[in-house]
Amino acid sequence: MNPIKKQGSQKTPTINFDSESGKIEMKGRSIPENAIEFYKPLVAWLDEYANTAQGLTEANIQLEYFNTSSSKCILDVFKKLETINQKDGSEVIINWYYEEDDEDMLEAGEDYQSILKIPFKMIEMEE
Amino acid sequence: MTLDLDNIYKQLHNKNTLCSYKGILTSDLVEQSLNNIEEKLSKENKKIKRKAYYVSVETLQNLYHHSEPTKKEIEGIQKDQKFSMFIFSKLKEDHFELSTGNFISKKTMQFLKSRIGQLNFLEKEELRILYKRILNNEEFSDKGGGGLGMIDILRKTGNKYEYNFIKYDENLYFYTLTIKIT
Repeated sequence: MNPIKKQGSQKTPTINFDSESGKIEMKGRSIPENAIEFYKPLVAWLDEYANTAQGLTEANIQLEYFNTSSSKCILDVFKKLETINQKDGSEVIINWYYEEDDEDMLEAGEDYQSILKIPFKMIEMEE
Repeated sequence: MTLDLDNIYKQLHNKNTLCSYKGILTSDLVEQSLNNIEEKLSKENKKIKRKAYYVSVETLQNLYHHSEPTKKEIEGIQKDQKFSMFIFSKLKEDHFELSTGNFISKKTMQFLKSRIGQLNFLEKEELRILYKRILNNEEFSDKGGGGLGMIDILRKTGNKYEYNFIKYDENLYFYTLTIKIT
């Protein structure tokens, strides 16, 4: 299946979804006014990827800001990953990156972690 | 009934107002204003910059989505327009303030009055629990936010909302909200 590659903008994150390597990447800002529109194709892609998922899928999430309109959509993405993780023979790990001393972003990651049954790794980035 | 919008706007300013607007709010204007605010924050320390920018994004997008169009001409504002105002100011080192004003219906006023009243009472941990509960329920408001924004702002700033409703007529109120960012 085709990868998704999107260059980030002032309002939307850089996206790299690659089925061959099993790597999912979201990086930057996610503050669009209508987040559903932006995330819809990503969720659809994961739906399809679930059928042929790699043994290990690694999600690297490195967000600087996200608005609350995005927060539900990000949860939708993670719920798809959770489904994949529950299948036999396919594991998922979410690496949640946050800037040193950005406690709010760490808390946001922990909030997702507590809602989902999926391994999270919190990774602090030094400046 | 007279509603002195110019005076309200003036009252919400201070000598260190960095960015403000009064008029019809468009999506482009929200974007430009956010860029402007980010630029004004560029020399601030990282922590307060992050907080102030986040609160501005959430609040101005909310303002744009939830302003009620005026159904008749009011104080020189043409009918069916979404009139709003916002004022972003620096109070002192690491202290900022964002105020907004917009028209709402009586029904929304009643809802907000009880909602903000409740939220202002909650402690940080209670806000976190509520945030997660709403985040994880499937329902989505047509405007996309699902009420999360107001909770998240309180979580991140740790301050209470200051708010006021000024009655214009039986069904229309002018709502002002002030958020202290520290």
